Amino acid sequence: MKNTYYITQRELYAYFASPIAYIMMAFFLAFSGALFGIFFNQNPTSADVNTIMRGWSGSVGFFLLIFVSIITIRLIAEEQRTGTLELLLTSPVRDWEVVVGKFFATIVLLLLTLAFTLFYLVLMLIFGGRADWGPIISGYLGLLLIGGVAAAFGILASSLTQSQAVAAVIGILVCIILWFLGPLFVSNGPTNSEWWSVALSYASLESHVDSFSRGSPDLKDIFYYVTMIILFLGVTVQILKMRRGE
Amino acid sequence: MIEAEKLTKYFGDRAAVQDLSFEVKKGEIVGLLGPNGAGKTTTMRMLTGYLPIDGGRAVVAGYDVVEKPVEVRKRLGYLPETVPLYTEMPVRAYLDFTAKIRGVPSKGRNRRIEEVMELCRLADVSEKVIGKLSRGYKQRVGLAQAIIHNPQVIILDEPTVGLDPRQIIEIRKVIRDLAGNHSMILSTHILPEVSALCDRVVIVNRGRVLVEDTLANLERQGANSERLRLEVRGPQQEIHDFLARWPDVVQVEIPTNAASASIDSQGNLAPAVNPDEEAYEVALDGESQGRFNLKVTPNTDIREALASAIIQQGWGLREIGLVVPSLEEIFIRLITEDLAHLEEEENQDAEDLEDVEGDELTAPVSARSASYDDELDEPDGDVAAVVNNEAELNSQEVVRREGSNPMNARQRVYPVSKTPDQAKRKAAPSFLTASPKDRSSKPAAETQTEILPASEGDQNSTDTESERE
Repeated sequence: MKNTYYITQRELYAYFASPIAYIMMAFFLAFSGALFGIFFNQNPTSADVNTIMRGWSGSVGFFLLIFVSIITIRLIAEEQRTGTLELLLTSPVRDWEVVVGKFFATIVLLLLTLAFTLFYLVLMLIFGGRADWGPIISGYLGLLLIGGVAAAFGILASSLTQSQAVAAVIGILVCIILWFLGPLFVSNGPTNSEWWSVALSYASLESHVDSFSRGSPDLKDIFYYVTMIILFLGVTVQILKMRRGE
Repeated sequence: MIEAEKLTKYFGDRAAVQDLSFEVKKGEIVGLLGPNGAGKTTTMRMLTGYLPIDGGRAVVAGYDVVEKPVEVRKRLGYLPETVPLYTEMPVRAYLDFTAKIRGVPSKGRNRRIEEVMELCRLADVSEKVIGKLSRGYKQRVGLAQAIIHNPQVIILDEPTVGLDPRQIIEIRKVIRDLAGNHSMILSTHILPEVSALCDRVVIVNRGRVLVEDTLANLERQGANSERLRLEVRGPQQEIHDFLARWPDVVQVEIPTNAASASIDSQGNLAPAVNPDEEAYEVALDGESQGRFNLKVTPNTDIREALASAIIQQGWGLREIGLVVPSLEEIFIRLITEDLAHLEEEENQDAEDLEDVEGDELTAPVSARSASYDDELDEPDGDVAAVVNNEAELNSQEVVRREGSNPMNARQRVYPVSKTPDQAKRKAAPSFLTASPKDRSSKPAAETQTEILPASEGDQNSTDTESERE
């Protein structure tokens, strides 16, 4: 476990040593700020903090997905390219410690980025808004979990190839597909009750967001996200084991 | 400290390493030698647990590599061929990280980092970002990470590759400072490095151990075919006959043009004399200085007697000396013999096309030139002459010369790299590693490609090299 911590530390160092994290944070915060503006304008008089934050956290997830996908593509692909993976895998560190360490570093960066969005809340509270904390916290938890799934899948994509470009394409495309599975097949589709439609909509990241932003997270939804994270990280560990031979 | 027992590794259905066994004792530095694609890196990666082992067993520092990988890695320092550096980190931070993941306890960790930086002469760049360091410094940082946890076993994969001579010397100094406390395996194809550093040598080719012996033994072994080098000024024909009549002289050779450049035991290139000029000189006046190589019956030393006899004849004796075969020559002979052996086997299998005459050393070369003559309808006279000439020459000389003398006409036959450094690294193995299987199955195509101009041929040899790796 200590090794995981060391790897997390180093990855954070790498994040802040490269411009990509700053750039992506700036983009994400710009989009998120724009979204906040939109929802704020829709409720100009009520100053109902919760309505605004609910709308915001329910829709910002997609940008979060893209943001996390891009910052994670580097994680393993680059180490394979430069040969540092050989250093990690010949150190007394287990494969899963490497993968989990990288995952945690991404989560820390994600938390930091989300912390910036608290600024909206602070603004509204200063200007007399009243917040109901339960839904807000659960909304943030939802975002964190979505980000976690994207991070886990980004690391998986990154372990598949030495090329960051390929990893980026895989990571982003799959995240987009995962996101839109629900809207595509459930809300518009006439075959709502078909088994595959239900399955796809369950697999969709987007269909689990709502309960969080409403303030009543379903255990099923938490379970869904956590399962996805563990699944992707587990597959990554297996891929690392397989790729050793190359 | 390290025991490899019948290690085997397959890539696809090709065995990269097969039944490779050797041992490294405590405090010993062992050189793992071999041409490109011989299986050195693969072997090392198996020992470090990076590559899964397909067959056999490896025990490092008392632990089985497969069963107790983490225990092994705690006691093992490894510098891969591509130095694993996080280029965005400063040296000290990088070493701190590697110390942590190698389990150096936090108490004394900083002191250890200082020590290692001192040892690897990194103290003056400790706060610099690794990406901005020179190649030599980077290599030393790589070495520092391998020894940071004071491991019992150190494995270094080509630690001096790509460095300039001064940097090579520095790295060797560092390695020598480490000797004694650690068992070390060091792979290289720079032979002087082995003489400079190693107690014992393991020569591998085609994934198998050819020889495992001490350096001294190897050199003694190589010395049994004794040769003398002479330079005598006077009438050449007379001198030749005189030498040939001398008892104990088995054979007199007049070294042809290309004997002019060589690599001495320190790995320095001796300057090359323009071959054509020299030949011209000899042809014009019979009195010019001449070089002779004598093959002498083993275990005789006729130097004094011969020297005084030559002086009595009134000729100018400029030089007389023993030709001591360098490690390089021994190495090349072993590899060549191995390849010749392989070729023989395959020739027999394929009901060979021509008799391979001559001793084992020249076998591959003569076989090739013979097939060239047979297969080509219109041989270009010039090239054909060169190739025929090849057959007479000892193949080890061919290799050395081709590497060291880019002006040589032979360049057309065996494309060579241009810089001395490249040449040094490539000289020995490049053409020897060209897959003999291809050669025997389609001799015409193969010989033709070898006679192509340098650029295309070079590409060809790189292709075969990468294929083997």
